[in-house]
Amino acid sequence: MVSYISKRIVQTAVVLLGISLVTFLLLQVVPGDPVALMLDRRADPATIAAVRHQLGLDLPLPQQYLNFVNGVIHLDLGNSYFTKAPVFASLFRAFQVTLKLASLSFLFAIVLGISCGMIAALYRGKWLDSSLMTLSIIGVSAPSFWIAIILQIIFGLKLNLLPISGFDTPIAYILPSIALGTRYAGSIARITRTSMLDVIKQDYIRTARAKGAKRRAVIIHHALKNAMIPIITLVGTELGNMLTGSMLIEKVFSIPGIGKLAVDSMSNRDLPLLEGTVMYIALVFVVVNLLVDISYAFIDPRIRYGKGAAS
Amino acid sequence: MKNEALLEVKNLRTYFHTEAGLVKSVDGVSFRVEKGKTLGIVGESGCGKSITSLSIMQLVETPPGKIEGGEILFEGENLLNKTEDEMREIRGKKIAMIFQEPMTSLNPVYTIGKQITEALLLHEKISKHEAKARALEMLKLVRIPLPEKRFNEYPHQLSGGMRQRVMIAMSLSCNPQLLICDEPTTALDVTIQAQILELINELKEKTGSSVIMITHDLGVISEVADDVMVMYAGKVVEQASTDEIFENPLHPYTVGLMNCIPKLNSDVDTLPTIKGMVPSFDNMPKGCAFCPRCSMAKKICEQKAPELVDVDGRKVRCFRYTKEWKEEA
Amino acid sequence: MKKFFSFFNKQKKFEEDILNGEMEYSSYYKDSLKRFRRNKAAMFCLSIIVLLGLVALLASIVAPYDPSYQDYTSVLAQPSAKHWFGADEYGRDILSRIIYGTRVSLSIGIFAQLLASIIGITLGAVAGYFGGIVDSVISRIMEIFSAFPDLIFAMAIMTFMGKGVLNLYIALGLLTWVRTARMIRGAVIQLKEKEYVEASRASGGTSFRIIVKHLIPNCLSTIIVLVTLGIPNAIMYEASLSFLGLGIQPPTPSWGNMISAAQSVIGFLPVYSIMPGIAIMITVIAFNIFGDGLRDALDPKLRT
Repeated sequence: MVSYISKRIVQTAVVLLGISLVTFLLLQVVPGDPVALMLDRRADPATIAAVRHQLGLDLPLPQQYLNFVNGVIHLDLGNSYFTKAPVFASLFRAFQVTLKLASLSFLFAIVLGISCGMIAALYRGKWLDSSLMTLSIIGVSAPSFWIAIILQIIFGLKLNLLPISGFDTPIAYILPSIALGTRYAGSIARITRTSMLDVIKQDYIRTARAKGAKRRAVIIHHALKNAMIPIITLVGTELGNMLTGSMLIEKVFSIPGIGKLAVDSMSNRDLPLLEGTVMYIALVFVVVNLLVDISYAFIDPRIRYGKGAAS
Repeated sequence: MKNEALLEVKNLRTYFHTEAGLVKSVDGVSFRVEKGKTLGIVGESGCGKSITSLSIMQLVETPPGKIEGGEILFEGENLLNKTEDEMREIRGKKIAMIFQEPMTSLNPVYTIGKQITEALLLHEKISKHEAKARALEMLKLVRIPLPEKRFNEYPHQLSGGMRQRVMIAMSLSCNPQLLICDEPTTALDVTIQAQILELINELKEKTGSSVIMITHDLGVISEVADDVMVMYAGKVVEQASTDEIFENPLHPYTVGLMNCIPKLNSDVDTLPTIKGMVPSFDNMPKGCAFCPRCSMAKKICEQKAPELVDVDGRKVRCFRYTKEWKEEA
Repeated sequence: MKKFFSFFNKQKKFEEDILNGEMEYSSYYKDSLKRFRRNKAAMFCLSIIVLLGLVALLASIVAPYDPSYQDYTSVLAQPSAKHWFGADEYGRDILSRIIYGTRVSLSIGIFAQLLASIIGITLGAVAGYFGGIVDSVISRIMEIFSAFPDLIFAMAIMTFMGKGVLNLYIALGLLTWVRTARMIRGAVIQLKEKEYVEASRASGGTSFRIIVKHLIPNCLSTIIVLVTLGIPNAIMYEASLSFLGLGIQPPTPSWGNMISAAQSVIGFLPVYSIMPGIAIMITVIAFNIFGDGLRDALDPKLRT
């Protein structure tokens, strides 16, 4: 187990280094000089050169990259070109908001998705199964930002029950969380159903029934734990997607999260902020995937004891 | 005078309603298992022997499968009239089952110990601690080395033979009156096969349980069974005691199976096999189901389905032992 | 992703049968077609896709108005016989703009997938066939690409390259090639062990010839399924990017930028934001169910 985890951690570190390199290089090809953008249009060349020097943009590229990596390691991502605020602090503040939104949506998606998937599997072929699966395919196929707007229209404007913007009070969390979670609830429901139906067919389920265990107990104790393995794979990748998918929802509800930061930095060509945001989101994404892989080891003893890896 | 029957199955019919049509997996099967005796059920895969055993346990997947009729009398009570809750009391406690694939029949995410104690905790009013002691005892009984260590291990850490021993320990933990073994040795090496059969025999003697041994291998039957039932395409084709069958097989199919047992003194390189395959259920012959593969078949075999007839106190489903056969000549 | 791999493994067995001469290609596709025809939901979705395709091609005939015609008398008009879905903030007919949006969405979906397939097939086949250092370099690139969250990646590319339809094709193509490449790489590694590749090499075939003539046709059904299931993804990303203002730029109508524009008037003209979303949903569902049906049909072993 320890060797499995340490191997995954080393792999993740390599990928992170690759990401930092790609991010850095991509930013070099951005058209337009960010310094010129950031200063007044009539700024004289001497001022521009001074600012470039001050930001370390006149150094050779490898040196700039090393400075960038060094900064990342020390949690110093520079200052925003525009607000002059430290990038790390802005990221940290925005991330707290996004994390709250993503966690709530995640909870909503898991609870709704797994229970709907299990119910559908238990009532396979019945009307309850087909209606739940129809709903889930609609949930998966509707854009989340559109669901958000529909929710705003129904619950905010027509029924006047819930606020349609902001993210300050618990009541304001409801619509954004549902909007972001619906899509993932749909895909979790679908994989849960497939996985449950697959596991129910296995020989060990018959063995458990032959021991005289209750059907429900067999499903909860023997089937669900095995069925969780593919569900966790999906949930893991979806958690990463959720953190970025929140950008769309943040726009609809004007929530000051990481998504808003990313969109702002892109439209302003605010290089340090952009670098920071991209690195940061990629980091979260990769770390979440790492955690998912490690959590397999706890569920599936075959991986824990080094027989075969999660593939 | 016959011994007391522990299990008596009468005219059992289990059908599967599939998209391709009705499949009569078990079609009018009757047999009895006496106390302390072993009944062998023989046949090729797909002949309905496993479905027969799952029907007794009432573990046939419904739908598509359904027990359409017949009686399953266990200790004089018809199991088909029991509720699901009553059946649960019987499964694992009074009738236990060992499955073919020890690789897949154990749950990969639970320890051996948890899986053995599960049956005990379900059926006996004992504490977890006592259950563990009983489970360790069972592991010793099936001769698993280092039972304390194995108790906390997972199925994938054990060899196939060890897993089948675990399955046996699990099924015998509540002292069942009837043990159904569905091809318990098919997936194992030859030497391990012999050990497992010996173990089943020995434990049967010790506990006085009855056994139903399901196999496609008459060699296994000769080692463990008192009586034999040969099945073909969902029907019984021959029933007799093991001695009688080996001395004088009546049905051409039984003869064919007999020829498939490897003999030590034969010098042929290839084993004889029965030509052809079990007919699929959507392509069942009108007459005798075995007719297309039978070397002795006559015209009547193509036209009419034979009944189970008595021959010297034995039962066989073949026209060779009827008047019609002699008449056709 | 996992689903695709398990699909591929079963597919592989089937293709082995074909390779071993146990089955003819023509009968394989004939059987698949028969199986597909029996799948009513997939057939229905296929007809929806055909319909959408016709609407896109014949947009100028089907649409009641020119999508950029501004009728100042009907700014933000409610749905009526004149404007079925109402008119937008410039008095343009919403239905007509949705119809023209079909063109954008379908073309994005198809071209992005074409690009992804070309990159994916090439890199996957090269990595799988040559193995060694080439394989590890390409595999590392794939890992890094897949480590970026999709949407952020597409946004970054759009920012770096500038907004425009062509760039959008490229951004979305770059987004999904990894999946195809992984699949093809695996397939090529499996298939290259096959004798017939040896035979072809012995008779003097070059590596390139071997890949193009033997290996890629063998992966064809997998590629078809991947492309079909990739299209709705690309459509969804296009809508998301356009909604964020990084995709298709107004005045060109796209379902995503229409929803974005409609956001400021949701209270007054809800139909403006509802209808483009329904269009996205129908298209995405149709492609998904059609793709699933195609997968089941091309892979009989999955459904037994």
